[in-house]
Amino acid sequence: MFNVPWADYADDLVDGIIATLQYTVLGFVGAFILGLALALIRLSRFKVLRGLAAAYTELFKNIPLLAVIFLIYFGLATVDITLDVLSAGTLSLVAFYGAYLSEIFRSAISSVPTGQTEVSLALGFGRVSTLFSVILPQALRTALPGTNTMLVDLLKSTSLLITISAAELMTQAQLIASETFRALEVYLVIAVLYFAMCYPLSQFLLWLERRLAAGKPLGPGRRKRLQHAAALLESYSPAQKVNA
Amino acid sequence: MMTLDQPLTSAPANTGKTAISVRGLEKSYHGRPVLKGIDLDVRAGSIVTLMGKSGGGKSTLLRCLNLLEVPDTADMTVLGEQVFFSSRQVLHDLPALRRKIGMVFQKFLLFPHLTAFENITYPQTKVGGRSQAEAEERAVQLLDRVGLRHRGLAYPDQMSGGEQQRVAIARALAMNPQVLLFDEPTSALDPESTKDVLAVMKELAETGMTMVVVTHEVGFARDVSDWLVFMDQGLIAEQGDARQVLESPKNERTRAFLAA
Ligand SMILES: Nc1ncnc2c1ncn2[C@@H]1O[C@H](COP(=O)(O)OP(=O)(O)OP(=O)(O)O)[C@@H](O)[C@H]1O
Ligand SMILES: [Mg+2]
Repeated sequence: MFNVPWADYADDLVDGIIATLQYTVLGFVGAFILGLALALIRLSRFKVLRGLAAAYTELFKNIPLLAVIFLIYFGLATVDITLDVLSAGTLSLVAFYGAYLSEIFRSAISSVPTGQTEVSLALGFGRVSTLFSVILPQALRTALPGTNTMLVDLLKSTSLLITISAAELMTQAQLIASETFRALEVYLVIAVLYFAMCYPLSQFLLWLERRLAAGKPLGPGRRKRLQHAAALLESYSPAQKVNA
Repeated sequence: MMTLDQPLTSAPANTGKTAISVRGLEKSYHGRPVLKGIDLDVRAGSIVTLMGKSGGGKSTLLRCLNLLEVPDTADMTVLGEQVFFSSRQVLHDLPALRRKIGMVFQKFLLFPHLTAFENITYPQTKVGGRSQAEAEERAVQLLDRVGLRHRGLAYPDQMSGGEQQRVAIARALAMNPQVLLFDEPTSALDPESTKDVLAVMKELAETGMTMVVVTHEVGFARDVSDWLVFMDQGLIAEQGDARQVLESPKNERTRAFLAA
C-alpha cells in the first residue's frame, strides 16, 4: 500500500505543516484581538458602535468560512483590492473566528458578577484598570474552554485555504496526490498529520484548563511568587517586630 | 524597606476632626426618592453605626460616601476634600479618594481567581504604588493580624464565609485607608464566623480607625460604636450617642425597630 516516495516529499510536507501553523497562529492572534475588541464594544455604552459590532458578529456567524475566503480573495480582487494569499487567508480566518470568539468573550465578561467591578472601584482601581486587571482575568478563565475549541477548529479550517492554494498542508497533499495518483495513501497520511497536530494541542489545552481550575499557577512567575508567599507566611512571626 | 512594626492601620488616633461631612444628600432611582435629605457628620476616629429597616437607604447612603453611587444633590466633604457640591461632583480623581476609604461588603467579594495572599497584594501593587516585596510584607502582617496566616494560599472558594470576610477586611486595610465603610459585614455569616469578624472590627476600632458600619448587630452598636444613626425611609429618624439611643430611643420608629 505504501508506494508514495515520502522521502522525496518530506520538504513539501514540512513546508505545508509550517504554513498551516503560521495561518493558525496569525489567524488566532488576530481573531483573539478582534473578538475581544468586538466583545468590549458590545458591552460598552456606545449604542451605534454596539449595533455595528452586533451586526458584524451575526453576519460572520451565518455565512460559511469558504464563502468568506472567496469573498476576500476573489471578490475583493474584482474591485481592485488584490490581497496576496497569506493576507487574504489570514484575514478570512480572523474575520470569521473573531465573530465566534466575540460571542464567547462577551458572555464570559457578562458572567463576572457586578460586585467584582464595585469592589475593585472601591479599592481604588480606575474604570480601565478594573476592566483589564480585575474583570478580564476572570472572564478569560471562563472563556478558556470555548476559546480552546475555537483554536483547534481554526487549525483544522486552515485546510479550506486549499481553495486559494495557500501552500498549507492540504494544498501540499493535493499536489502530492496528483503527482503520485495515490489519493488514499496521501490523504490518510495527511489526516494522520492533522491529527498529530490537533490532538496534542487539544490535550495540552485541556491540561491548561484543568490546572487553572485547580488553582495551579500557569506561568513560572506566579509559581515563584506563590512559593515565596508560602515561605513568608511560614516564617513570619509577630515577635520579629520587637527587634525591628 | 517597610518597618516590621507597622500597626494594623495607619489611622490617626481620635483627633475629633470631621472625617466625613454630608449635608442635604438626596438620591432617587428612576424618580423614586431613596434618600431624602441626609445630614451626617463622622468624626475622625469614631465608629458610626447605621441601622434601620430594610430598604431604608442604608446601603445607598454608604455607597454615596465613596461615590459608588452618585447623589442627586449633596454638599459632601470627605477627608478634608470637597467631593460634591450642590448637584455637582467637584472631585474628579475618584480612585485616589477611594484608596483612602476602604469598603467591606456583605458578600465579601474577594477576587475568586487569586489566593487570599494575592487578594491582598494585588491591589497594592496594581494601584497602591507599592513594590511586590512591600505588598507581600504587608499581606503577611495583615493575614496574621486577622488570624489567617495559615490560610494565605487558599482560594476564596476554599474558605468559610468568615475567613473570606476577614481576608476582605485585610485587603481593604492593605491600602492604608483612613476610613472604612462596612455594609452588613456579618449578615451572610453564621454566629461563630460573625463573632470572629466582629472581633477583628472591634480591634480595628480600638486602633482609632474611623468606621461607618451598617449592621443589625445591636451588640456591636452598643459595645463598639460611639454614634448610632437610625434610618427610616430615606431619612435619619434619630441619631445620637449609641448607648443612649439604644437605651432610650426617642423616635417611635426606632423604638418599634429595637423592640422587634
Ligand atoms: N441600583 C438601584 N436601582 C434602583 N433602586 C435601587 C437601587 N439600589 C437601591 N434601590 C432601592 O433603594 C431603596 C433603598 O435601598 P438600600 O439598599 O439603600 O436599602 P438598605 O437600607 O440598605 O436595605 P437592606 O437592609 O435591605 O440592605 C430600596 O427601595 C431599593 O430597592
Ligand atoms: Mg443594604
